[in-house]
Amino acid sequence: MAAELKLSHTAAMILKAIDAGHVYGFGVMEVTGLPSGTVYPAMRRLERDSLIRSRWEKQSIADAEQRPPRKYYTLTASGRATLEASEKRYPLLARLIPAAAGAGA
Amino acid sequence: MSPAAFHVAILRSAALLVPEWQRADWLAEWRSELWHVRRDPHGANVVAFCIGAFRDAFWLRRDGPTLESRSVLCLDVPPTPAGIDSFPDQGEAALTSPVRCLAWLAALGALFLVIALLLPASRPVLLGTLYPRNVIMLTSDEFGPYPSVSREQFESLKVRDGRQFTSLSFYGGVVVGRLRYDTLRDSQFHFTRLRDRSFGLIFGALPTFALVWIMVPIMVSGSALSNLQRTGARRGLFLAAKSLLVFSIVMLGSLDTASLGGSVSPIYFDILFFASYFAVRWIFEDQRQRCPVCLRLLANPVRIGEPSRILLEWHGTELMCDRGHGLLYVPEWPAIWSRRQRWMDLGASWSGLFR
Repeated sequence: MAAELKLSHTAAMILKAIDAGHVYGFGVMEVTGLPSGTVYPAMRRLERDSLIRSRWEKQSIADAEQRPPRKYYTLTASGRATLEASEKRYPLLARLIPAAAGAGA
Repeated sequence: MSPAAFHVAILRSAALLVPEWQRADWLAEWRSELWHVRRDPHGANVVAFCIGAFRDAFWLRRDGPTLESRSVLCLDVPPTPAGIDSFPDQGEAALTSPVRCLAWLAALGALFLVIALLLPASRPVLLGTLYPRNVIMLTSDEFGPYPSVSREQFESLKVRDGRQFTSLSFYGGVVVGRLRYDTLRDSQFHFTRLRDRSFGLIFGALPTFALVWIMVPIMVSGSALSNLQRTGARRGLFLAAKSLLVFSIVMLGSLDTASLGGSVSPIYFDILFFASYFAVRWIFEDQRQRCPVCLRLLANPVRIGEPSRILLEWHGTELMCDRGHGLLYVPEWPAIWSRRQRWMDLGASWSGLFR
């Protein structure tokens, strides 16, 4: 396994939030309480480091719900490994970030 | 301005910081998120949310992925065999983006303005300090400042209106005087304020440029204009902004060139005319080569067909919008069936091939 990146507490929170099912920027902001100027650059950094990946929602789904399509973020395999390492480093992380409603375990 | 428009304006301002090839995607994501933030039941601070876009944009500008990691067409192309070099990445030309094009023109105009303010001959023309406000030239002819005053008329002027002047001089048919008050009253002579003449050098350039702007498209063959026929508000605004900036460049550049001697040379209007001609040609040529949708310069020119087979098949150059909006076909030799250049929109089904 590649050496896991050591994340800051903020980056670990964002990674945990995405893992918990808060899969878009504003959702991560709401659950972490971090401002948009912190969350979005952090997510870009995580994406650049291949810990998360983004994909646009299908237009048809957004059209059905009469809203613009959103960009969703999911963890990659290395992101999951890094999160596991971060949870050992920051034991309270799991308590800080509740799972999103409707998110899988 | 409505709050929604204000929020979008903040995002659009921040988007200017984002590298251009990422801008559309970036803006789409922020606008989508904004839509949700504005409907947040907990009443999120929308302005604070939008201001955060500047940090995100700045991060992308400074630390984001670079242009080298981007490809225009996302095709499954086998790796280049060893020993064969792939095509070099040509990067992005300075004028490709409409915003960057306008920024370059504005910078060039500012440079010429600084030069004009530094040159001793052109500086007073620009600042309107070449002549004092109340120095006038008198003529007996209303049609222009030509030598039309006789010695006898000058003498009678001195007797009749002399009290209205602090000084009065006669130069072979032309009388120049300095008014005691703001205007000349009850005189049979016509007068021109010399200060107005210095402003005339600047404002006189506008009709010249406008005339050339109208004439050049008429002189150029119809094929050069066919792509211009697709005018939308955004495209029209871009053309207007570009024309205005180019006019400033031409006017200031001509003034700078004509002022290289001790005074503004009479060849100023000659320089202005020829510079306007070439500048206007460039304006329309540049406009013609831009995508009607995103206004970026079209890329990847490809020659198609053979000149010797003009009767059998199309022959010319095909250009492509690197955002995938469409293709422009420019005939090399106009034929009856391909007289003008032709734009072909690529539908949404093509978008998967472009990033």
